[in-house]
Amino acid sequence: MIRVEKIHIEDFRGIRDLTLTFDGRNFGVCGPNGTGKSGIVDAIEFGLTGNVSRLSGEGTGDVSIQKHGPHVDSRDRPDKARVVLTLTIPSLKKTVTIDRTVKNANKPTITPNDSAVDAVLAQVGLHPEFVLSRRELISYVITTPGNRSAEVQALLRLDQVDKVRGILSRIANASAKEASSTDGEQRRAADALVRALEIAQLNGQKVLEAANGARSVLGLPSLAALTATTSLTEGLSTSDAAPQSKIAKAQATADIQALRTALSAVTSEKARADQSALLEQLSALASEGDFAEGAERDQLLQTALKLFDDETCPVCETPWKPEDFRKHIGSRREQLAEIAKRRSAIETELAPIIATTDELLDVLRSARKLATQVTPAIETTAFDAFGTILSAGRKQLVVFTP
Amino acid sequence: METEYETEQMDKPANDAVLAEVPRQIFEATLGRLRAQKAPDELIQRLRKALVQDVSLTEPAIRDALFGPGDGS
Repeated sequence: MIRVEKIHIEDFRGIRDLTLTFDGRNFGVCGPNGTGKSGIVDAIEFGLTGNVSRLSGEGTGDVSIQKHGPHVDSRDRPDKARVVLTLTIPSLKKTVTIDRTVKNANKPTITPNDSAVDAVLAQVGLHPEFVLSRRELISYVITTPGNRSAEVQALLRLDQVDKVRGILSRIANASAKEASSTDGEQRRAADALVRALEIAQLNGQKVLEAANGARSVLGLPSLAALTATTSLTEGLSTSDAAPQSKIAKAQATADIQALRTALSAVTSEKARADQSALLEQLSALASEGDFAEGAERDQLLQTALKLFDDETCPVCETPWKPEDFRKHIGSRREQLAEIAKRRSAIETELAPIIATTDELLDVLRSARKLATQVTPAIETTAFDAFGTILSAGRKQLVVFTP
Repeated sequence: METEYETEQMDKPANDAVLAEVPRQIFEATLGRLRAQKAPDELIQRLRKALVQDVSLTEPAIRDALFGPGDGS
């Protein structure tokens, strides 16, 4: 425990020069608006920690201790903004003085300066809840029971836990999408292997048998087993002279059939209807303007609510009636929540379309390769043009996913 | 005249990189549960360093802690 014996404040916040003697007792400060009551609380917090929680942290933008800590008449003189606290630490039976300026907020002069005193002061820094502003105290009183736990969580700095929870959720979602994409690639590679080897299903033994069958035709030794690093073409010599390309008819037929299937999947009436509906939703969402920065805007609105002093908006300083301000911000937050909900629903619908596009691009590449191998070669301009359109479309769709 | 370094130092709150006591306890409890579930020691050490020691509560830092440096992006 720490008891505040005396505080001396110079050019800090709204206070020019003030000395208060508390003698380690509880105290209250009262006075008209704008006389610096909150400045005393700020000074005690600053003296103990070098920080003023309502001037720092998330949502305070350009507000900083360095710029807004000094008195307005000494704004460019952070060396003049000074707080001297005299404390007693009963557990150590010591009287300690902390002399701190805004300029050297991180380097106070502490007398006596020993490890036991440092340890006690370090504990204060771990308990930001020791400072409660008038606004915070009132908010605990007037908040609804349902919101009280959220207020207490904020007091205990559980926002740090919430922040980590949010980051872990984003990482989990992104990882799930990467896993889904990798699954798709694996499935397409497996399909291509099945078609190439002309086997009914992907099975290690069947792959080995089919590969060894093809290798024996080429005069290559059989592979003994399949491992993660086995190359089915191991030992196949390559010649500097360009070999005459030969097309495996069965594989080519399978590739073309796969292309037809993929094309019919994206050009069916149902697919077109789904795509049109999704496009309309995306256009509507994009026109909202808020969809990209929704989370950040919501954070700003929450901070504005928290900092609102029942008189003026903390962001634009427009005067508001308290009930009107809270209603307006509440309405904006509801809009943002609705946009986030719609966006999430659209993302769910986008995922299979992107996967189908990937499959189509894959089989299109195979078909294009065949077109260049046949004699006479088939003009590939249309393949390239279609591929370009598909890739561009995919790129546009991916923009809407996080 | 302030140097850029001094200005930067002044702008930074003194306890900016301090983890409040309750979050610290929650993170430690979570790391304890990970250990009970036999998560690799290396992973737990990286997470403890990011969350409790360095207080690097950013997505890149936590990705690095989860997947190892350079493997999470």
